[in-house]
Amino acid sequence: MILALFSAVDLLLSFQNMLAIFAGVAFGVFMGAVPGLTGTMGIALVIPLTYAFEPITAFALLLGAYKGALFSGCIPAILMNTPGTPAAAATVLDGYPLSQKGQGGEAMGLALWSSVIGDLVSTVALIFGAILLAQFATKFGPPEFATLVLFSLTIIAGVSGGSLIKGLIAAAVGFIFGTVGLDPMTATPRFTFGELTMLNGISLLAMLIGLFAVSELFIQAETLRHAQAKIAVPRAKISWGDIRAKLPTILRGSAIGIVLGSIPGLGATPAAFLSYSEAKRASKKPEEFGQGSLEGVAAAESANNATAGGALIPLMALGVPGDVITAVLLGAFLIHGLAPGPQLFTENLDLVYAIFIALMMATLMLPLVGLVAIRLFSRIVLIPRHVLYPIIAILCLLGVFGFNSSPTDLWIMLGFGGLGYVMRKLAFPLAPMMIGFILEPLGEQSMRQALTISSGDWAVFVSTPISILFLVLTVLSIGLITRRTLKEKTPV
Amino acid sequence: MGQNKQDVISGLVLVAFSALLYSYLVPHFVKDSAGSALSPQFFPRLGAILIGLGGLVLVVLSWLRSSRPSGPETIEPTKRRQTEKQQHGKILLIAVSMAGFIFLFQWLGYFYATPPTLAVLMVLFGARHPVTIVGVVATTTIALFVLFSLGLKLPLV
Repeated sequence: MILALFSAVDLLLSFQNMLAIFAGVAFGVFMGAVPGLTGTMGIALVIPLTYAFEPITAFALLLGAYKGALFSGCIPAILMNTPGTPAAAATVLDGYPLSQKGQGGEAMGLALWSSVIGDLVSTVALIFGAILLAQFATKFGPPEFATLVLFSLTIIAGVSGGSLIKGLIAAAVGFIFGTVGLDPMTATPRFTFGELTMLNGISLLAMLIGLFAVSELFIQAETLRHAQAKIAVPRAKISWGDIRAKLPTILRGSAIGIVLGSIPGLGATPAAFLSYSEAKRASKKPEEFGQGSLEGVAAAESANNATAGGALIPLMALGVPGDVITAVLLGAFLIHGLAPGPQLFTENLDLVYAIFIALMMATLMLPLVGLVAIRLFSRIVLIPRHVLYPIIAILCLLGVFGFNSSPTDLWIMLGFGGLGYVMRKLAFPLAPMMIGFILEPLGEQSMRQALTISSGDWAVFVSTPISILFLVLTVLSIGLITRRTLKEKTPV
Repeated sequence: MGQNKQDVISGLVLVAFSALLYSYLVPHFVKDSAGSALSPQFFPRLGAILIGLGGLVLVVLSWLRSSRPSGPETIEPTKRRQTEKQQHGKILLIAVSMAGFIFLFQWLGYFYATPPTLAVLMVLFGARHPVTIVGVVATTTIALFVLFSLGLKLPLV
């Protein structure tokens, strides 16, 4: 373990990797700060730029972008009453009133440092949590993996937005797309229509960029907003005394963020709102919440950023994405030929440690980049959309082509862009489709391997305590989802 | 079109797609094989069933919901249809421009495909000043070439 740690430090400590982390954080901050651009879109756009890099450099860039985007959603939330990311909606509640009262500088400063502390705490939790979970997962065989995938599919409920049934349909469609290519057990071609390029299946990157970046371009073309008028940006200022006074709120928010982030399907938005309401409940001045409370900003922002470490625990240890962004990150791992999960910890422990150190570094770079971004924000929002979106469109096309030099992938990307747009217009969520697509090969292979080992006896899935545990968790999860749906009378 | 009507149509399309998948696409484009405990057709068929069931549930739930009274329309229907048509036309043009890029890129190469596509996309996204368009097109074309071809060593031909 110590040897792997030294090897990880050696692997990571280079000028190129430090630059990658810095560039990632800066790019993520940019994507999160500009309303209309999203962190998911940002990560999808960065993936093609990482092909030529070593895996650690690629992940330094990608994880930096993830952390940066999570933080910067608060900048437009505080200054413009427009959350840059969905999770920053909780920050708007007090951030914007503070800005109107002339305390925007304090709100931004506190948001930045709450994010940094939340991030730091969650990265420590990730390191211990993922290692312990991965050690447990080394005992997994095909039946355990098959039941784990089944349990993971219940996370679709969490990323389905307002409609559970539409989420399930999207997942089933993703599931079908996942079967395209050679069958994992007998190498029988499926839905290849005689095309040699389809034997490897649908390109994950083409699908990912089509669904999350191209469809977003189409949506933005519909609702095209002109650049904002110039806004005054105060200097982020907060004293150590102020931060210390809010430390219990920040730490509570961090704990909520870690726990909710690590539960697949929940993610940053519920974590930020739960932390906000808990802070209000515990506050000595609850009446200030909603009118401009620094505590409210600290609670929302710490929980928002702490979900990053939490969501990475099931991803790194089990290969199960916890939310939309980690589903995209899982895609990035697969594109770089790495499968997150217990095997990654046994075969590439130095890389895992290097990723953990890179996450720490990204957290430490966040204040530096964040302070500059806050200062530059008035210029960032002035970038005309008619310049930004066409460049993003060309970046999507070149990025997908660069991966396999395959024009077929470009058509697939465009097709998924169109499909993604139609799905969004009809209120079908995109994330379940991506999750269904990614989990199908893993689930199918594990299930068929287990059945081959047991000579077709389905009792193999209830033959070990771990697989029984996952089946019980699946049933419980479905029960809870059904109960919640009936209680909330969620629309179809 | 109202949400309920949209959901009913989507549900029916999904049921039809599921039937096509189950009865035509799977038997014709996935060979059955006895080399494994489960046939290669098992998962595609399972997916088809799930899509069909999901579509059916969507139709039924939307139909049940449509019996409840709905809120008043906030935008005049004719005006809304006109705006929707304009928006769809614009999106179609953006998709066609991207498709045009793919053709030009395949046949003629990066330097013939990127500038016209960028210029068209800029106009579609609202750019009107010719100097801005020429400036952005020239700078972006060169910058992306340097980034992909020289920086990342990814071939752009």
